[in-house]
Amino acid sequence: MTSHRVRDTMTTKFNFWNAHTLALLACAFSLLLPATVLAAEEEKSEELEYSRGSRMCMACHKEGSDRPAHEIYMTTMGIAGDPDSPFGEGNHGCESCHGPSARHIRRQPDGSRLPPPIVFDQRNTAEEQNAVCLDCHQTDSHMFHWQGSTHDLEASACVDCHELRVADDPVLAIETQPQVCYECHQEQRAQFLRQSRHPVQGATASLSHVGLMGCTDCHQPHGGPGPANLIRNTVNEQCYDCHAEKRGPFLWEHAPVQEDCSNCHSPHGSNYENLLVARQPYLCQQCHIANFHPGGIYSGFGLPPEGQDSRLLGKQCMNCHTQVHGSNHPGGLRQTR
Amino acid sequence: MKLSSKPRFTWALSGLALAFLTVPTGSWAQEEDSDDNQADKKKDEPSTIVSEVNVGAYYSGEDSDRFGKFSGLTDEGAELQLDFRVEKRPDAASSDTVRWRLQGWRLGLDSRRLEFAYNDQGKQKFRVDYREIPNNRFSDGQTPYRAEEPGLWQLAPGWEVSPGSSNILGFTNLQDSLIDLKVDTERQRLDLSYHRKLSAAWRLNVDWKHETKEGTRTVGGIFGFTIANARGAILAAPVDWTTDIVEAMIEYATPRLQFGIGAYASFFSNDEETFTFQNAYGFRNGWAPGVEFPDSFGRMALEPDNSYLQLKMYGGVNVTRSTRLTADFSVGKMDQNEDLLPYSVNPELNVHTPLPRNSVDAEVNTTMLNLRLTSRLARRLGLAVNYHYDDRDNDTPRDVFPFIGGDAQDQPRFELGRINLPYSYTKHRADATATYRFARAARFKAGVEYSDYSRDFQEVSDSDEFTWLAGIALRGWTHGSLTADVRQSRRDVKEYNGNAPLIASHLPGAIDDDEHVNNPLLRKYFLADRDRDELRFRADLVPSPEINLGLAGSYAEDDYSESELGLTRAEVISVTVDAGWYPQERVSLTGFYTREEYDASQAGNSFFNPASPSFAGHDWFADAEDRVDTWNVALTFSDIGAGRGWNGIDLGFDYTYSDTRSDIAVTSPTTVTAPLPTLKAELTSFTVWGRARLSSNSSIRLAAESAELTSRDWALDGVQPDTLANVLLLGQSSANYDLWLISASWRYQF
Repeated sequence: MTSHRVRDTMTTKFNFWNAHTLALLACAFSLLLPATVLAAEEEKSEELEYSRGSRMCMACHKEGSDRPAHEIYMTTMGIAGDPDSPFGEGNHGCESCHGPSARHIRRQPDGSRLPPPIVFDQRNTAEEQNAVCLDCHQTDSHMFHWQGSTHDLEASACVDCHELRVADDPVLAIETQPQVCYECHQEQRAQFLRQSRHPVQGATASLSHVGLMGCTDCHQPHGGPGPANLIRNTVNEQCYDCHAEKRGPFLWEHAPVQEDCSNCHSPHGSNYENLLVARQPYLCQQCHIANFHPGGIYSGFGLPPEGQDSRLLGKQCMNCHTQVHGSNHPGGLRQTR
Repeated sequence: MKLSSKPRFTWALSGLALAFLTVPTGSWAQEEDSDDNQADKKKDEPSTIVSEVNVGAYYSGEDSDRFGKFSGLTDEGAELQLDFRVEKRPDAASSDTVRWRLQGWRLGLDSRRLEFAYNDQGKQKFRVDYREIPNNRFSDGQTPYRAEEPGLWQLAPGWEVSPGSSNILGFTNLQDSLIDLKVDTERQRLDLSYHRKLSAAWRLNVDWKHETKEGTRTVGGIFGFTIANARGAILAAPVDWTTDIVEAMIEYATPRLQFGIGAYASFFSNDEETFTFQNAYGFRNGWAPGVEFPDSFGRMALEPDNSYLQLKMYGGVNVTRSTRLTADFSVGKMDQNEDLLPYSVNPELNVHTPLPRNSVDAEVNTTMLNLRLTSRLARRLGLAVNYHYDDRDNDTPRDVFPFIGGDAQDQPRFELGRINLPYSYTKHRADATATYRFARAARFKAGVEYSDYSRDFQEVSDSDEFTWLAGIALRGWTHGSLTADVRQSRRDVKEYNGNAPLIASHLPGAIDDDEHVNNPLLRKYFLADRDRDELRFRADLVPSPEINLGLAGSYAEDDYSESELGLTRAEVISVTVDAGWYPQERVSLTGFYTREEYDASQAGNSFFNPASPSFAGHDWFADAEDRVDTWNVALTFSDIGAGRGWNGIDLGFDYTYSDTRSDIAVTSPTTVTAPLPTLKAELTSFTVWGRARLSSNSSIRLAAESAELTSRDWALDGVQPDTLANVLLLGQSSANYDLWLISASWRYQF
């Protein structure tokens, strides 16, 4: 009860302009914070030496070794002819990302080796790792929304999703990409194994679940302008990319449709046909309770052999209200035509 | 064996071949130029061209539309398996920067894909991607209709209706008239994208998507109503759609400042904009004279041509070393100006009021603004502040349409006409999230969010929602990690006017101000007051390098406590267990289990008296329970026997099980109800595969899959075309299959 009262109080006191005020105050605070204070908190970096080049690295990290890295030359990062590549002329190859690693090359008295200054695992924080990647990639178009995005706030590291030392990064191919996303998005992994789903590769070897589209057909994992990191501005704009026939604008619109497709559809997978979030006629009755058939009681008595109710059989409510996304017929007020 | 013979596939292939021939030529020229200009660079060495082909066959033991719904593996028998890849990668030591790849997947199936990607790194990129995406819905439908033309369906020759009968009982030769009906669609999608680096900071991105979708989809064709009793038939309307999307952006990016400006244009066209169908029924009291078989028809307007143009801008600046400000802004216009159809296709009907305008003239203006400020306030403290503005301003003209709900009755009086409701909305949202790193890889976050929503012509014109959230993430330990998030929001509705759309859609004075269609106690769930609680956690444990375990769960509850009728409560619980065991370097056993529970409760009222000052509350309840269990276990052995005179064999086993059950209990304190059967879909798939390397560059792969789907759907099972008295159905059954499938292929790399 107490928490409920607290919430009530917060809600009644919090209005739209308060939200703006909060946002403005936060902005002002962050802008005015002296940069010198921030600089003072930065750790001083230790003077480190570069080794004699990546060939030395490959002497150990060769094909068949415990930590092979030879396929880096088969990736976009290994293009020597690109001056912006880590392996471009004047750059430091492996050490462009791992940092000056002469100390790593030299064995310690006990025979072990110190790690390079930056390693892309839990020995460095996600921020430390990502700073290396952003050093080159922060100006990429798809990285524009990265800072403050969901994955940034979750402290996801680039290498949580990207495999850098293989010729073909699995997250960049629509057939293998979902398996990478499923590592964290486990509910979606289960949803894509349902009977009503988009044709995204399921977490199965079954040929019934081949991947014809990828997660990135809709989502921009580095941050997008829309909700849930969608590529487009709104849920509907995203859906219209492939379902433009539902965009209209129609003469007779259906308000929840034009507002948000996910009012009625579960995009990753559903127990119900056409990705509906609930079963007809009950889904429709969550918004239409009127006399006669919209408010009717539809129980097992409407099924054969006890009965034959048109709201329970066939396309159910859509036996008649078939143009539920909007109608362009002058008689289509009730989405029947 | 089925091979592609589709002309569109052929032209797509031709286009790809053309691209293949033209673009690399230019690039090779650039390679030479590059050498000339960079004489001090290393001498070019031969680039690596790798080609790979995978050829074989699938053999399915049974027809199944559902198994091959998206893959195209629908028919019993053999299908060609063909994949290939030709790839050129620059040699590591050369100054060559050009990489290209031509790749094809499933070329023998309807789900084929071809891609050509060309990348002159640091200069330009070009990509062509062609995909076919089938959607096989069912092929066991039955109908007495014949498609004379795609948009005109007529009844079978010899169709008869008993005199005096106005429902399906009067269809005397229905059974003899039925023919099989397949309902499916296929998308053919071509994506072209071009990216060019114009200078160190400027670049150009252009994307074009051309997609066609052809086939049929089911619709309910209605001939007429008397009160709420319709006469209709489920039909397969033509789908002949084309969508073109062009997006072009010019961008400037330096480490400190980025901005871009561009345009997005989407054009949809439908080659079949009307669907006309012959009336199968005899005359019904209440219909206009002459509206009966054989001379009357029903007609619906199919999806209209439309377009969406959008101007887009974005900008971002690193204000200080630790503070970044970004903005997205776009304005757009959706247009649709299809000619309006007449009120009825049947000339027998009395139509006294002409259409108020000749075409729809629909126009929606959209505006979107995102502002984001992110700042690292201190080494451990970060802040992200967002403001979002989203406006849909529908400028479609409003007119009175004395509408005919079917094609069977005369037009009502003008005063009873209805006015179209062009919906508009405006949404503001502001949020702030702070993250604090209290240990090397441990974070706490907390945030607030406030949104304000206003709408036109709906029951709720103003609502707002306040949310707070908190989360903790403990990562960075060798043996595991833990994350947990909690989020709570409350949506408040200023006022719920249940008859606002009804009043707005009538002429002033045409109905009383207190008249309602929906029960006034109803609260539509997407508009209603709502309390939402969400909890999410995930724990990963790696007790040893050979074992990893994961446990994740989420809980979400929507409480519509102010809603007496409509959705009153919804709850989702999900738990997942993941495990991986790697006893040896070349052996892995992985699996997961997910349990999801969806519960939803709603209340309804079957009849209320609009004249009564007090309206009746609920007299029925529907409680839905969805239970989903999903399993997957995969065991893989790699390189068995490698180095012992063998080239090595890989073996794998994969077991997938998904069981979804939906129970809906409808109860009433005043009416006797009967239980509804469980809706069910149980999928079991077991795949075993093996791959033997014949040499360093060739291998064979054999796979066998046993797959079974058992589904039960009370809307379809046992339902025949004539089960309903007033709607002629297709009689298709719910999806079921029990099949085996084998595949054999040879992969060769050269």
